[in-house]
Amino acid sequence: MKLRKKIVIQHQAKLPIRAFLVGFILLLLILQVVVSNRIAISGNQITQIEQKLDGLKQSNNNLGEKIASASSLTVIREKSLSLGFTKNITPYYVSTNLPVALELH
Amino acid sequence: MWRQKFVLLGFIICFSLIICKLFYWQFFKSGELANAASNQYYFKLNLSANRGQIMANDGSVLVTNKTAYLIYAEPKKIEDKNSFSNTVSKILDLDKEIINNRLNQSEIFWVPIKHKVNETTCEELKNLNLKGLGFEKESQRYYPEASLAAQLLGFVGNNESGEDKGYFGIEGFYDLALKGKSGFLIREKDASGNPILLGDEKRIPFEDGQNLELYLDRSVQTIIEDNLKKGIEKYGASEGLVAVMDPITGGIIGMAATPSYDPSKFGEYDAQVYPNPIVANTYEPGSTFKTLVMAAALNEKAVDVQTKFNEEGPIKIGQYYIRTWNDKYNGQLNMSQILEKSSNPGMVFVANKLGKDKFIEYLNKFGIGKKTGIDLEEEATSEIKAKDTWSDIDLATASFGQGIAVTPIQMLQAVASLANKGNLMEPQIVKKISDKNGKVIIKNPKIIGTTVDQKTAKMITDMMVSAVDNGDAKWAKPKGYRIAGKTGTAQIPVAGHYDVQKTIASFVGFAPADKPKFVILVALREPQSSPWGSETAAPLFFNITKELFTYYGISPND
Repeated sequence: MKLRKKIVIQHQAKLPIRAFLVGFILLLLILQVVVSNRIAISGNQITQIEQKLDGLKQSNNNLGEKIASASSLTVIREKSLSLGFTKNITPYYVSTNLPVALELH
Repeated sequence: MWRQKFVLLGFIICFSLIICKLFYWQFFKSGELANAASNQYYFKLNLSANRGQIMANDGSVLVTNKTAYLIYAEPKKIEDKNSFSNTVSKILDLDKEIINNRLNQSEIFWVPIKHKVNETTCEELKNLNLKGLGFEKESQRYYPEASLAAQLLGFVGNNESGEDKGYFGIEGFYDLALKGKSGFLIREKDASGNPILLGDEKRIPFEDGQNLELYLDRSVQTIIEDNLKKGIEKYGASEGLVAVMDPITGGIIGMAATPSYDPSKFGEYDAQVYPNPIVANTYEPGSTFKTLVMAAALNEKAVDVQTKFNEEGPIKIGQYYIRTWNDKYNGQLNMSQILEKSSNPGMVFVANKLGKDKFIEYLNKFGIGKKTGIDLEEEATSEIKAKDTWSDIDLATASFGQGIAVTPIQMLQAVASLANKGNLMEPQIVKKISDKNGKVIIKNPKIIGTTVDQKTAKMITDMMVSAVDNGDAKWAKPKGYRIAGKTGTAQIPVAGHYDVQKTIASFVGFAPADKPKFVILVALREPQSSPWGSETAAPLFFNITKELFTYYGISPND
């Protein structure tokens, strides 16, 4: 009689745990459905991010190309000529024997 | 009973057929089906590496990459192939028949139409919205400085498999380092072709090619190319070359040759202009070679500066007579005057004093007859004759640079050693190799031998300065500077004899003589205005030198 009572008490104690486990499993199932659903549609987002990344790399390359073109000697020479610069053929060298300034008396 | 047996037999036959078919799918077609399935749920992508950049010594870009497109067609999707090829051929400037033939090949799902199409043309095609026309990004070499230093840089073409490959110059020599390593990506995809976040993925990352930084100074390169162009026009030469080297490091600061080509349109030029003649061609150096022979004789103490030679007429060697260039004879000459007057009989005297064995030994010391080791793909050399085959006339003619062939880079390297206290440097084009991970390899200057001792180097320098100050080209020299140099005029061997009308006029020298910043070799082939180096190559050398003095800020007092 005593043993039966003990089993009934134990059975009553396990009920909330069982309910909790079932609830937890249900929660995980729902979570899985939600996550799977999100993952399923994230492929599109990944593609968009990759396209954006490609676009940025492309812009970077284009800018690098423009910088290289703009800083080429051919372009600099043309621009300097249009601004009136000329080639210095006969430079004048200041002799190191002379001081930069002379004192007037 | 017979009905049951009949139905049973029917079942057995049906099952047997099914088993046979399954066996067929599982054993014979399994690979194909696995591939087909894999194609359905896997996305495969080749990750191509970007080819490395080539930069000048100031970090400015000489060669880089730009985006281009591969234009391709999917014949199964094209409705009217004739109209398709008509439209595409006009925009891509291709033969319509070629496109038609490609489209009409049976069982072809994908055909390439044209590689390396620029963005503008690609946009034009995209705007047509042609069904079955596709575009794929690819990389194309881009030259911001156009054809500057083309023969030094080389170009990128295709190999047998249609992949990019560097040919000639730096592109050829450093092809492996420049091209990098391609990778690939295999990734699980969903029904709409998008990647699955937690799906399978296999990735072998690509490695971009290494970047090269050169010793080349683009300003110096521009100066020598401009002057060479003017010189060729002025003196009516068929070909010409200029090479500038830093004698202390062996770094090549500039290198130009004409005729040249545009590396972005290399296919439009004759393939003969692709190799760089400064490293790939040999020539007879003529009197410029006298500096090396004189240096060898001084170093061996076979002669000294004050040794006298009586130039009283032609020297007879066997059945041959060795004359001066103008058939005029100057009597008593010291060694310095032999170089000033560029006396051929005087050099025969010097070579005889030196002796055949020592002469050949010094040819080896100066690197004549062997590759310099310069980092350019097409370097060649000519061999020196075996010692026992040298006759007296061979020694005599070689003493003034005839009957012996060198490459311009060998000549430049040898004279640079005189400017660098006798240290023979390995000529180098690339100074630094770097990759995207920050790894840097610096190529240090490399001494590969000693030609003469320091004292001899000083003596020969003074003699070369005297040859410039008192020689035939003194009128062209910039005033106030000490420049060491020597003119050369070599007849061109044609079918076993020398053509007196055809010469290679050259000048080699360095400046400032006592603290050399650069060594320059100038050579003009068959100049029409005058055959002499003193009237063609020398003024061109001095024009370049003047500009380099201004560029480097070297005053006459330096």
